Order: sequence, then structure tokens, then C-alpha cells
Amino acid sequence: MNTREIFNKKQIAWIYILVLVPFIYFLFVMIIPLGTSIFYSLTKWKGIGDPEFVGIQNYITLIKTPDFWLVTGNTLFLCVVCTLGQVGIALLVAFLLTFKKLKFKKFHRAVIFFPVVMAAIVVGYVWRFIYSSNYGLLNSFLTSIGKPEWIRFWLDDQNIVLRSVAVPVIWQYIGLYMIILMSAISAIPQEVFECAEIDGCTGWKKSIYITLPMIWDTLKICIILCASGTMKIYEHLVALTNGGPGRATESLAMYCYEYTFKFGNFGMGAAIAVSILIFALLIAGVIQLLMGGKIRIRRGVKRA
Amino acid sequence: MNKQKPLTSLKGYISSFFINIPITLLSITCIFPVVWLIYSSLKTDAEFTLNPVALPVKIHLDNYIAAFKKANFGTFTFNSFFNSILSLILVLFISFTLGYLLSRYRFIGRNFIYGTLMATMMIPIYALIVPIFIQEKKIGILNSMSSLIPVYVAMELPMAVFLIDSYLKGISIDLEDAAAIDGASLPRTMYTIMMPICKPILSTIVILTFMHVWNEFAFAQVLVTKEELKTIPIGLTYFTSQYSTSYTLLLAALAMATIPVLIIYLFFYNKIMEGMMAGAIKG
Repeated sequence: MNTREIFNKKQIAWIYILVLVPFIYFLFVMIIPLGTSIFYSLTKWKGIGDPEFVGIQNYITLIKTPDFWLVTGNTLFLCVVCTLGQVGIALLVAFLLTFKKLKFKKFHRAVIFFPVVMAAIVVGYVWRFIYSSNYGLLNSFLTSIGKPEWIRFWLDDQNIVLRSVAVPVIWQYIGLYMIILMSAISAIPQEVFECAEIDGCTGWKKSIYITLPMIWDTLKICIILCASGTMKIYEHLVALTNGGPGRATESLAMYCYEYTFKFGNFGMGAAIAVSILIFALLIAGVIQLLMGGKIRIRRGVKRA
Repeated sequence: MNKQKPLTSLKGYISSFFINIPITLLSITCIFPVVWLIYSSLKTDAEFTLNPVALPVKIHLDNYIAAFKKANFGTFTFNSFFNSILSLILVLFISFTLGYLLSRYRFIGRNFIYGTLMATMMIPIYALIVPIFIQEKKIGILNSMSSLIPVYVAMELPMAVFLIDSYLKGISIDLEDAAAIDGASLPRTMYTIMMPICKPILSTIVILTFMHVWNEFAFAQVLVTKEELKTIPIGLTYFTSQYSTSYTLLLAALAMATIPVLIIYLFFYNKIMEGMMAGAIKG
């Protein structure tokens, strides 16, 4: 460990001033609001006057509202589909990128990662153009390959719209999980692969029996990150459908925004925000249980 | 590139086909929408409705001019740059100070502070929007030039501190000891000697922070309601409501929101990868 000794009092003073000032600021912006958020969720408050303490009344109202369960269902559906899609495809791509026969690896890596750095709202609008029914790229593509019968009203048909909106989200973040998984793969000692090759293990077998178990922890973290990230999905939906048709694609985060800033019901808004947090923690817990092992949070990976 | 190989078996060709084709298709679907966005924004509306996929006949910059004239895009761009650059400078200095001190010294409360910073990475920021909104309203900085920057800085800090901490772990303390013997004070050692050494990781932080702040939507939507303070992502939503007449105008706005990110990505691709990898492996 490269640590230094503290020599004198003057230095201690410097250290504490330089650490505590930013840290207190950080507490005020990030930690205290989390506490107040939980407090507001237990009050009835319209944004003016004093909050009136009502206990868990807001949560009871929420549980009794069918719309809440509808948007929760939407969010959970997207959460499952996007996690499977993102991490699943990213895993396949990361495996394929380790194969010697693949050409232009650097190019593929750079291109697949690019959507990650685009703004979610831009991705949403671009995909609205792709899906659009009269001038959309997807429908023109389907016509040009001679399958006009596959044309749908991608964003207006209530039955398929939720699946349609999942695609852009998956598309955008494949690159992120691909890079995380690739970095885990590159951290595996080369000898392991050499031994496996000597024993005659190549190609897909190598990926499944050697690589996969060695990156299991990282895979778990990817799934947790992805699931809890998708729980707060917002921008994509605002740009793509704005929740419509009806509430068919409304997510919990949009519902929270609606309650807080459109209806001015801060208490309910806070309750919805806290339920997002609870759902995210629950999901992380369930994934922990399903995939086994002790949690080791590897930090520094955040949705770009 | 092409090594002359003897005729390999058919099986080899087939497997290489099945490896290359799916990845190539995925790459095309990733790059095509971006390319399409940029060239379509150079078309006229009539051209676009006629055939949305075709290349523009003639390069046409009217959409960009219209976006600036009609839709205040200049203001949005200025605000986005203002927020991004100021947040960047603050994140750099604060995260370097915190990261350096937390990495190099062991003092009472050090582990608590480090742990708190790291734990906040897991908080979904949406839970914070309402209380931050109320706090800012109370202090009176809601709807001002300084309503977004404090939030962005705090949002980016944990990641940046983590990256600096793990970078410094790999750098020996000899130089700092030498500086101390020569009588350099702690702030001097930190900012004039160690900060230049950390340049590689600082540039990673610059890029990641810039991208997060440039693209941020939720806070920008809530904390700022004045037209003249809005940022590009929020401005984009106007092009579908208020100025919904022109598709190519929206495309031009989308392209303008993407081009700065694209340029940075092309120039600093390796740094971004380094940052992502460093974040993922060490921990």
C-alpha cells in the first residue's frame, strides 16, 4: 500500500479541511436528500405549507391504485426483458470477441460501445424515427425485403408497444456490459486458457466451461446493475412514447414525475420514489440469492 | 492483414462465417442510426418525406440555421457547455483532492468517508429529485445558473474519487517524500507535483463527466424551468411539441446534441475504454 505518514499538526489540519469541506457538501446534496425523501413519503404535502405526518398512508393509497400496479408491471417487464437482452447479448458478443477468427475486433468494440455515450433522450427520438409508421426506417426496410405483412404500428399498438420500447434500451447498453465483461475476461490468467487448449478444449466449449465460471461474479454485478438501472428507466420512454398509448409504456419514474410535478403531490411522489428504491434493492437481493455467492460490490461502473 | 493460408477445410470457413456475420450485423445496427441521423439532418423536409433512407441530394444546412434561429438552440448549447465545463472543473479539483487524501493518508474517519462515497453509487438518483428540488427552492437557487452544477458535481464525485484512488495506489510515494524533504507544503505537493502525474486518469474523468453531464435529463428537467436556462436534452423535447412541423429540424437538433459527444468519443476512445476497464476490474 502506498500510504504516507502524517508528520505534524499543520498537516492534519490541512487534511481535515480539504476532506471535510467537500464531504459535507456531498452529504448535503446526496445523503440528506435520501433521508428527507423517506420522510416526505410519510407525509401529506402539496409543496406549500408544512408537511403533515400521515404515517404509511401514502403507501396504502399507492397499493390500492390500479395504475400503480400497471406501471410497476410495465417497469418490471422492461427490467426483465432489458436485463436478459442486454447482459445476454453482451455476453455472447464478449465471447465472440475473444475468438481468433473474428476480424476487425477494435472496430467492432468501438462501434458497439458508441450508443452508450449518446444521450438516452437522443436514442429515444432516433428510434421514434425508426419505428414511425409512415416514414419509419423499420417499415421501409420490411417493405424493401418483401415482407410488408410484418409491418406494425410499432409505437401505437398497445399489444406490442412495450416490446418495441425495450429494443432501443437493449440496443443502447449492450456496449457497456460488453466492455465490463470483456475486461473481466481479459483479467483471467492466460495460463488457464493454455491448459484448456492443451486438453483439447476450444471454441464455444472454452467459453462455456472456462470463461463463464471465471467471470461469474462480474456477470452477477452486470445483471444487478442492469436490473436496478432499468428500474429507473425514464428518458427513453419520454422520447419514444411519453408513456402512451394510455399508460401502456409508463414507467415508475414517469409516474413519480407525474405525481410530483404535474399533480403537485409531493408526498405521493416521494412514496413512489422510495418504492423504486425498494424494488431496486429487492431485485438486487433476489439476483444475489439466485446466482449465489457473497456480495462484493465492484465500484466504478455506472451507466454512462 | 491477409496471410496466405493453404485451403482450409469447409468447416473452418463456416465457423468463421458464423462468428463474423452476427457481430458485423450488430455493428452495422449500432453505427447506422448515427450515420443516418447525421446525413438526414442535411436534407430538406420534402426530400425526407419522399424517402427517409436515401442520401441527401445536396448538402443543406438550413435545418441547423433554423434550429438556432427558431428554437433558441444557441442558448441551449451555451447552457449545456456552461454546465458541463464548470462541473468538470469542480469535479476535477474536488475529486482529486478527496481522492488523493483518501488514498495517501489514513486518518480517523477515512474509512467512513470512503465507504459513504462508494455506497452512494448504488442510490438511484430519482429518489433524490424531489428533496433536492425542495432544498434548492428553500435556498433560492432553483431556476438559476447554479441549480444544476452542485448536483452534477456530487453525482460524479464517487466515481471520480474511486478512479483516482485506484490510480494512485499504483504510484510510489517517493516523489512526494522527496518534495516533503525539500520543504514543499501539502497543498503544493498535491496540486503542483502529483496532479500532473495523474493526468491520464484525470483525462478519463474529464471525458466520463462531460458525457454524463452533457446527456443528463432528469435533473435538468425538474430543477430548471426557465426557457433561457435549459440544456440541450431538454431543448430537444421542444422540437416535437412546439416546433413539430419539421422532421429534419428535429433531426438537426438531435445531430447537434450528438456531434460533440461523437467528436470526443472519436478522439478519446482509448481513454474511455481505460476508464471503463479500470472501473470494472479493480474493486
